[in-house]
Amino acid sequence: MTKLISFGSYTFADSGARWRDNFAQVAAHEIALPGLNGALDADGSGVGVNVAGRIDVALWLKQADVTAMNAARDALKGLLRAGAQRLTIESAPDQQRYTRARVLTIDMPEVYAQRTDTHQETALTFAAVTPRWFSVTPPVGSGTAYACSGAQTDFTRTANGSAFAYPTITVTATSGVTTLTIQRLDGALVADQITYAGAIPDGATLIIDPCTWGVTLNGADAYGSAFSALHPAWFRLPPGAHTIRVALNTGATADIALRWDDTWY
Amino acid sequence: MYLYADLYNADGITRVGRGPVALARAEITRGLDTIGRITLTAAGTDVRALELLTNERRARIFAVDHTGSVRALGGGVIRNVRAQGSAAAWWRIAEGADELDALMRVNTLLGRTYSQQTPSYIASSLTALVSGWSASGSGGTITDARFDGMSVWRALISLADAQGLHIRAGSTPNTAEIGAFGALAGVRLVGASALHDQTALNSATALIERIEIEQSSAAAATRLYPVGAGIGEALLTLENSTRTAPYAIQSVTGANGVPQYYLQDAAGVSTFGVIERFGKFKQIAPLSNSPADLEHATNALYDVAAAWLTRYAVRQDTIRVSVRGVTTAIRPGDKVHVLYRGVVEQDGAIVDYLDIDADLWVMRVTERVDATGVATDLTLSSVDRHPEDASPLQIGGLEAITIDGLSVTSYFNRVAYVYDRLIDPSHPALIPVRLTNATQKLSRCTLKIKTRPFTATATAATGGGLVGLGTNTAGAHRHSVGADGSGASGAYYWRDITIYDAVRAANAHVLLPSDSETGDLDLQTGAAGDHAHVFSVPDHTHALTYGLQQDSVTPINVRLFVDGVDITTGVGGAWAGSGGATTFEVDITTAVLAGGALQSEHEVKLTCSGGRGSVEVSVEIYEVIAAIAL
Repeated sequence: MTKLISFGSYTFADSGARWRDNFAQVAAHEIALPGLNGALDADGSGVGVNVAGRIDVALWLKQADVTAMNAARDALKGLLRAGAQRLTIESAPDQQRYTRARVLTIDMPEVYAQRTDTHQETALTFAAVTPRWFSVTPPVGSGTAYACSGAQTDFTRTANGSAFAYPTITVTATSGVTTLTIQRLDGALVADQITYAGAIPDGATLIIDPCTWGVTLNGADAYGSAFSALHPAWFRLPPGAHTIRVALNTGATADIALRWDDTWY
Repeated sequence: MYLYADLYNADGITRVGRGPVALARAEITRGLDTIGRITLTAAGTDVRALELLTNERRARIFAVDHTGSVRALGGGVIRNVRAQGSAAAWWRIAEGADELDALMRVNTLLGRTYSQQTPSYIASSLTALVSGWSASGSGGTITDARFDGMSVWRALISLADAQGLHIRAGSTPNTAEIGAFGALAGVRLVGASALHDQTALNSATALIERIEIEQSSAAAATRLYPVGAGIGEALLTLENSTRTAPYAIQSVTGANGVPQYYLQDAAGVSTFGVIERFGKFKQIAPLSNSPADLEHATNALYDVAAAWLTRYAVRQDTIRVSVRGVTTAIRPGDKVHVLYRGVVEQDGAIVDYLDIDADLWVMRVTERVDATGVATDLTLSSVDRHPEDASPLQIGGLEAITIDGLSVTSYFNRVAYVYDRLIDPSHPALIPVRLTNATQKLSRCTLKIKTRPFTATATAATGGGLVGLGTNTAGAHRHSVGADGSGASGAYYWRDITIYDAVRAANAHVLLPSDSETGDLDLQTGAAGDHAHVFSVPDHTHALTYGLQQDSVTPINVRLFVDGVDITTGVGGAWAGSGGATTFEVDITTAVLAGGALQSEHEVKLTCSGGRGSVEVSVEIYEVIAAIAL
C-alpha cells in the first residue's frame, strides 16, 4: 500500500490508514446544445485535461499521553504554514515519488470514547496543481551531458513512468554555436523539435525548460525570435526509449543534457 | 485546450520575456473594414504575466487544441491593462486593438496621390508606409486617389469604400487584404438536432448554440444623390461621369434650377418605393483640375455611389449566432453556409419557426476561448455591410480632414477685373482672360462692354510767337540799291515816289528821274545783292493746358471674337451700328469652354469697322477652384 513519507521537512510516522489521489481524473468539457442528444465534447477525440490534483490521506497519530498528542497535533497543523512543499510517497519499497502540494485541510476529530488523546485519527487533504508524481531518484541519463558536434549527433534517453516527462535541456557550448536543433525521434518521424537560431558563445549556457515555458541564455531571458518549437509543449519524453538527435552548425560543439524526472499519473 | 500569448516589443518583431504567458481566457474580435479587439486574461499572480502584459506590448495569441495543434487566434497591441480581484481569484486583464491598429499609427501626410492605378497597387503602396507591413488583393477598377493627412488605415478604408471593396487583416501577421471577398470559408454552421452524431462532426462543421435573426429595411435607400468634395457650386457631381452601369445617371432640376444627378435602383424601387438619400462622399476630389482628372473623379464618385446603392437598396438580414466546434479560422469577409431548421410539432402539425439555408457574409467574428473550449460569436449578413450602418456618412467611417488652404476640397470663386482699350478700324481691342490650373471648372464668364469717344486730357500747349527775331549777323550794315553802272539812252522823266523817312518817322515825297514816264515805281535792291538771312529758335518747352477733351467720334459696328472665333451674332451683336456710346453685356462661357483648353489664356477681341474711340470691358468670372501642387 502506498505510504505517505514526508511533506517538506516533516516526516510522517508509518501509520497510514487510507490514501487516495485524483491524478487519473480528467475534466469533462461537455456543452449542451439545443436539439442535441447528450452534449458536445469540447475535447474532441484528444486527451482530456486533468482536474486540479487532490490527495486525501488518513493516518493515525499515536502518542503516549495527551501532552505528546497535543504536540503532535500542533506539529501537523503547522504544515499549513509551510505552503507548497514536496510531498513524498512510497508506492513500493524503495520506490518513492513526489509531487508539489500544499495542505488544504487537516481534520482531527476528537472522540472521548475512542481515547483520542493517545490515538488520533487524522485526515489530510493536499492540493497539487500539477497532478503528477515524479521520481525521487533521477532516472539513468537524466542530467548527464552528452558531447555533441556538427550536423548530427544521436543519443538515447529512456523515460519511465506513465505520463509525459518534460525535460529541462541544458546546452553548454564548448565552441561557438550559431544554430542548434534538438529532436526527439519517434521511429523516423520527428516527434518534437526545438530550434535555437541565435548565437551561443563558447562557454555559454542555454537552458530550455518546457515545464515553465522558459528559455534563458546565461541566465538572461532568451525567448526571442531565435527560439522555436515544433510542438506547443516544446519537448516531451513519453515513457520509453527515445533517440535524441542534435544538429549544430558545422564545426560547432556543445554538451547537451536532458534533465527530467520519471512521471506518473 | 490551453492558451498562451507571445509578447513582442512595440516594433512587433522582437519577442520578449523568458517565455510565453499562459492565459486563462482570451477574446478576439475581428471585423470587416474595422479594427478588431483583443482581450487577454492571465493569472494576476503570474510573475511573467505581470512582467510582460504591459501597455504597448504586441501580443499574439495561440490556442492549443485537444490534438496538440496550435492555432493562431490573432494578435494586437495592448492598450489597457487592468487588475481585477475577488475572493476567488486575482486576474490581470490586458485589452487592446488587433494588429491592424498598427496601420492607424502611420500617416499618409499631405498630398499622397495615385493616378490611374489599381486598388491593390494603391493598397500595397499605402501599407508599405508601415514598417514590416504589406498588402495584397484584387478587384476594383483603375482609379485616381489622393490622401491628405490621414492614417494609413483610414486611407485604405477610403480606397475600399470608393471601389466597393473591403479591408481585412491578412492570414499572416502584419498583412492586410483588399478585395471584394465573399468566398465561402468552407465552414457550415448547422443547427444541432437529435439526428446528429457528433462523432461525425469534422472541422468543416460547427454547431449553432444560439441564433438570432433580424430583418431590417430601416437603412434602405433606393435613390442616391451623390456628391463629392467641394462646397456649394463647387460640389463634385456625376455631371462629367462616363459610367453607365450598373445604374444609369439620371438628374432632376433642383429648387435652385441646377441639375442634381442621382442613381436609382429599379428593383429596390419596386420593393420599397423611392427612398431618397443624399450622400456626400467628401473624400472624392479630382487630383488636379484637368478635364481628365475631373472625369476620373466623377467616375470614382459614381463607383462608390453605385457600390453603396447596391448594398442599401435591399433588405438586410442580420444573423447573430454563437457556435461551438469551430476549429478553423473564419475570417471577416468570407461567407459561411448556415443551415438551421427550427421545427416543432404542434397539434399534429409541423411548424417551421425558422428555416435558414443560405450563404451569408461574415461581418464580425468573436472567439472566446477558455479552458472549456472555443465559443465563436458571428455576425452574419445577407449583404456586405454592417447592420449598424445607416448613413452614407458612416460608410467606412470617413475621416473628416479639411485643411483650409491646403485642402483638396474645391471652392466656388468669383473674380472680376476691368480693361480699358482704344479701338479704331485698324486697331482692335484685345482682352486677355487667363485661367490657370487652379481653376477646376468655369461656371460663367461675362463681359460688360461700353464704347465711347476718345477722351484727351489736354487741349494744346501754350503758344506766344517769336520775340526779337533778327539776323544772325551782328552789327549795323547797309543794303545797296540799283548798283547798275549802265545808263539809259532815252529821255528821263521826273517821278514822284514815296519813301519812309526814319528821321521824321513819316512818309516823304521825293522826285526821282526815271526812264519810264508812267506806272508805279517799286524800288528794290539788285539781284547781285541776293543773300540769306539765317534765324534760329533755341530749345524750349510749352506749358500744357489741361482739361478733358472728348472726341465726337465713337466706334461703329463693334464685333466680338473669342479665341479667334467671331461669336458676335450668337451673343446678340453687332453693336453700335451707327456709332454712338453703347453699353452691352454678353456671356462668353460657352465660347471659352468650346476650345477645350480651359486652363489657358483666352483672347477676347473687339473690332469696329468705322469711327474710333475707347472700350471699357468688365470681365467677371465664376469658377470652381482647388488647391494645386500641394
